[in-house]
Amino acid sequence: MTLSGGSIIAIKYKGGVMMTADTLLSFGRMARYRGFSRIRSFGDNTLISFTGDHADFTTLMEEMEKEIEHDVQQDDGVVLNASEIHTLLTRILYHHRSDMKPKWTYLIVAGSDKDGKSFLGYIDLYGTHFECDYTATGYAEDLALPMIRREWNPEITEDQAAALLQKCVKVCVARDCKQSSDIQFAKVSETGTSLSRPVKIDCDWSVASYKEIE
Amino acid sequence: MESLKLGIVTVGLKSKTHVVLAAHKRAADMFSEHHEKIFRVDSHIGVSMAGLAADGRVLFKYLRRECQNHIYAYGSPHPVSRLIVKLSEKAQENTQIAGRRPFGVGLLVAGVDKSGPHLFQTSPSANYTEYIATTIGARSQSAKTYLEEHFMEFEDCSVEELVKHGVTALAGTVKTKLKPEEVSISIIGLDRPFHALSAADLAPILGDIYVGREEKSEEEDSEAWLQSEEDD
Amino acid sequence: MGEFSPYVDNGGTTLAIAGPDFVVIAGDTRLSTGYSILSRDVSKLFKYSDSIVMASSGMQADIAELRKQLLFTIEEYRVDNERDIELDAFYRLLATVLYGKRFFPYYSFNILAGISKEGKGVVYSYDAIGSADARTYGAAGSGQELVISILDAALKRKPDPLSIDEAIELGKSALKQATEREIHTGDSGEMYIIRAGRPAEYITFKLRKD
Repeated sequence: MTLSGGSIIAIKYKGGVMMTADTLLSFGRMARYRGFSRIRSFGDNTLISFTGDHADFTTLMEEMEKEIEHDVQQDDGVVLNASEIHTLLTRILYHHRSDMKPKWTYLIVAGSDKDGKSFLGYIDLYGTHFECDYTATGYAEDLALPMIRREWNPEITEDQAAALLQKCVKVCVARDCKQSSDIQFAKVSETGTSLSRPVKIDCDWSVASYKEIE
Repeated sequence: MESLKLGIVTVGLKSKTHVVLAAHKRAADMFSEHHEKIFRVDSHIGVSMAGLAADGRVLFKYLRRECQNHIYAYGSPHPVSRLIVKLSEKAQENTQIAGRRPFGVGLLVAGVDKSGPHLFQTSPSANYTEYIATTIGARSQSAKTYLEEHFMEFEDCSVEELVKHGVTALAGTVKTKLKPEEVSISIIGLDRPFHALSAADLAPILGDIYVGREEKSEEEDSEAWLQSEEDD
Repeated sequence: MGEFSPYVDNGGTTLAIAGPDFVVIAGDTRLSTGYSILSRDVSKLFKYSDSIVMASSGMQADIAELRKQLLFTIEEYRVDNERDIELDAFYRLLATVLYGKRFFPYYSFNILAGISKEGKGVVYSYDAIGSADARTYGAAGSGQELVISILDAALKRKPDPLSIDEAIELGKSALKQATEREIHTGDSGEMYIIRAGRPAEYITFKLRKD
């Protein structure tokens, strides 16, 4: 058994991409480490987040750090955009699966493409990959995606996006036993990336029967 | 360094939107075919060469492979400046490692990327320089003189004007009148990938350049050909 | 944890129909694993030149790698020969690339559609390890059995020659009918219409999203 991370939800809005993840690392069904940020920012224009094995993710990110550092050292103004990072990570994950040594992660990459347009991409441990307007991994794939499909449109504002994510996360906290209620929000837009401090999703558990037994 | 002064003349020049390579593809002797001197590396990069063509082809294949590898790994075209650095690193090894010899070829590398059009010149010493306009090859001096006189205008040139400047610079390096099939022009633009001009495209441009100039006699023509043979 | 299986089936259905001087090739755009839809908008078609289009279903990651390998090779071909690759050469290339991974195959089922040197529409149908033959129509993927029987019924004993409009309608309708009965097929359809001497035309159409 290994340390693993839970769901991610990410959506595009008018002017950027927003994503959310809880801050819990689980060891099987034990809530092992709390307050761990599962969203990483790269350079000043890319966010990467993961569901799945934490050690594998860390190894992948070390590899990505080298790429970013190479760009910094060249100091020629050439930096990888999110779309390029997405392609590179896809190749890396596919390569590992072909070696029969998969990196057991589902990755969400957010940022912008070569034309400066918002980019949101999905990759899994097999190298399956695609661009999308919204996506979710882990239990949120079943819980949140249907809600997003119902409410999302390309003109959605930043505030509306935040409200939608909040609503989705609340359902995940209520229904997914491994979802922690300490949630991080992150966004990436023309002005760069920003990552919030963990915020508490308050769920009303008064309806639960264990309350009465107390 | 000497190899830059050998071989055919090739000219490169760029504007804000385009970069143009021009080369004189003179036949090696009377009975041989014209040799193509400008090569497509990728849809956004082309090279022309002066010096040992065989060495040039090795480098050209290397550039091509690096561009393909970049597309494979990153899904995007190779940044031009980074490609030049890789090329230079490869060439530098040969200047330092015992038992090897430098690549006896100078390249003009023209390309367009996110930061706009670029024109680089590389040399056997592994040095490289970015230019607005430059030329290499035998008797490139007169082309260089022409470019020095006009390079201030290039930035705002249309692609047609840029091509004309390139061909004019090239025309100055040969004693004979250039024929369309002896000139090779390739263009890369911000809005259009690498493409070559056909002899039919070139005929009117050459016509414009030679307007008012005196025709040389057949005799002079063949002498000039002999002369240039000795130069090599 | 059991032994890792490097394969996933991402589903989807593709088909191609050839006529005397044209060929149409189509596929759906659903990408799924098991019972969940990952994306409703991932193309199964890939255009290699004005007259060569490949449709692939199976495992999306393997298909992407296969496309990259093919692109790599045809780019070399283009530079070396100063022209686009032709259909018969591409047919051999794809077979060779697939067989090159005979003992760790690309999990992909490909159909190749194009115009031959003689100006005829041709469909090549492949298995995962590169066995291929030329046909007048073919289908592959999770809805293969459904689509192929529709095409058999419509084309096998057709007395008059197939027109291009009939082929387009038949292709669309076969995909729509596969979508009715097969859960991994759906969302939207896309089609390339390739006529001799003309660049391929691209159209899309709606499919059920459920």
